[in-house]
Amino acid sequence: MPADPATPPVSRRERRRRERAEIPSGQRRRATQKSPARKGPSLAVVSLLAVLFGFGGIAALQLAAPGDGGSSPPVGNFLIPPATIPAGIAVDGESAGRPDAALVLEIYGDYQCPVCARFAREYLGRLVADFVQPGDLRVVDRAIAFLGTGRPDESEQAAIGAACAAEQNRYWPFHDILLWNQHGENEGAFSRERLAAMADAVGLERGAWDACVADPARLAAIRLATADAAAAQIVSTPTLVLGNANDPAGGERIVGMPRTYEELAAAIRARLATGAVTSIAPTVP
Amino acid sequence: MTRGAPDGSGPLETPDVKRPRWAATATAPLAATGLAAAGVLIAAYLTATRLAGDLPACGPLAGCEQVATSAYSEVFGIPVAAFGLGYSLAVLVTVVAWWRTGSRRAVIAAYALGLAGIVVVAYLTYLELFVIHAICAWCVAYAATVALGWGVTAMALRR
Repeated sequence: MPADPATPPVSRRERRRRERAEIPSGQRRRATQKSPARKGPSLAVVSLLAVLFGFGGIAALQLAAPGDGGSSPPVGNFLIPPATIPAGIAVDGESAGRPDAALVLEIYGDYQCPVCARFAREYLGRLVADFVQPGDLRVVDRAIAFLGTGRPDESEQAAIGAACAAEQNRYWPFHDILLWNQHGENEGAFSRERLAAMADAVGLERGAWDACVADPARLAAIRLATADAAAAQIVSTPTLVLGNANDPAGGERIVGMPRTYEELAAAIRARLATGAVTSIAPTVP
Repeated sequence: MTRGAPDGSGPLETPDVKRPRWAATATAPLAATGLAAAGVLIAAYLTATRLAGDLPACGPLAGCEQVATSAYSEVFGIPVAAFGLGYSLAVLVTVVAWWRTGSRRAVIAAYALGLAGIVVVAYLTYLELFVIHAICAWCVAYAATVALGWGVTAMALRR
């Protein structure tokens, strides 16, 4: 669009040159200096306040989840997970599924083992839906304890607590609450107080449970189970043993968590295709 | 600036608005808005799964469940992810204000929020690594949006 012919267009560069020429040199220097309001103390103060605000958030987090030494989980603060073994499935202590199921999957695990928790959370529910509910598979949990270091040993305490929950036929809810509420290893996740709170949470009769966990025979049983598993070269958890009566080796051993659920499901389907009947004897009392 | 009227009747004079360089380009506020929006989405997903009683999908990466179910996943009964959602919404409001108005105050607000957020997510990452002993990919992604968003505002203020 043409401009007014009386005033020829002035380029931006030319306009700026003229403006600079109109400003005395002293003022020009000041004009080119950055405003003190743009940088300096105000931003520093804002930064300081922001950092302090952030530390306030951290303090709130620490107040909400204190614990011994700043790392132990609070006794009464844990998640109640969804049931891995839904109602309607036959449960007998540590086993779930029809007693005459074609296959048995034994799951060796330490309650402090994070991969065991992953297995339970990611695969076990699917196994139950795909194989246990139709009656093809029975799962048997085999708790062993080798990750504990303290006194009391948290792996042993958790396993004993679960075994005593089985006495009240509440093994699986206790199993689930343990594995959903790990907190590192030997950091108080399975302290006596927290286990007792979990026992209350899953509705155990506390008098009987307290007496059970105090029974020295329970500790001896879990140590024997751990020793038996070690003698059978089960030294890593989870270790899965998938078997049936026709298996001369006693079952197919899968060490560690299968890479995908489909791999595990395929192994089960392959075994089911043989039509064998299971009768794997329990290896852990 | 001199330009003609749309009907060709004559030139229109519009003021030559002088804007600082950091506000003169839309790239930085757009990037900050995108990062804040990503933070909102991640925090909303984590909050929704928590409130529904589900666990976040971890895919091939492990650790989300352990972090999401840890004692540190809530503060005074409120999921940490819900705080993250509120925080990210606040950041989003400030960066959108920056984007739409070029306001320096909005940049400073986003910068301050970002800095406070970095302190908190750094602590949460420490908890994941050294206390919970599990890393949640969603949490790492969220922390990245906070850190990068703050970086964008800091760079804008430096110009």
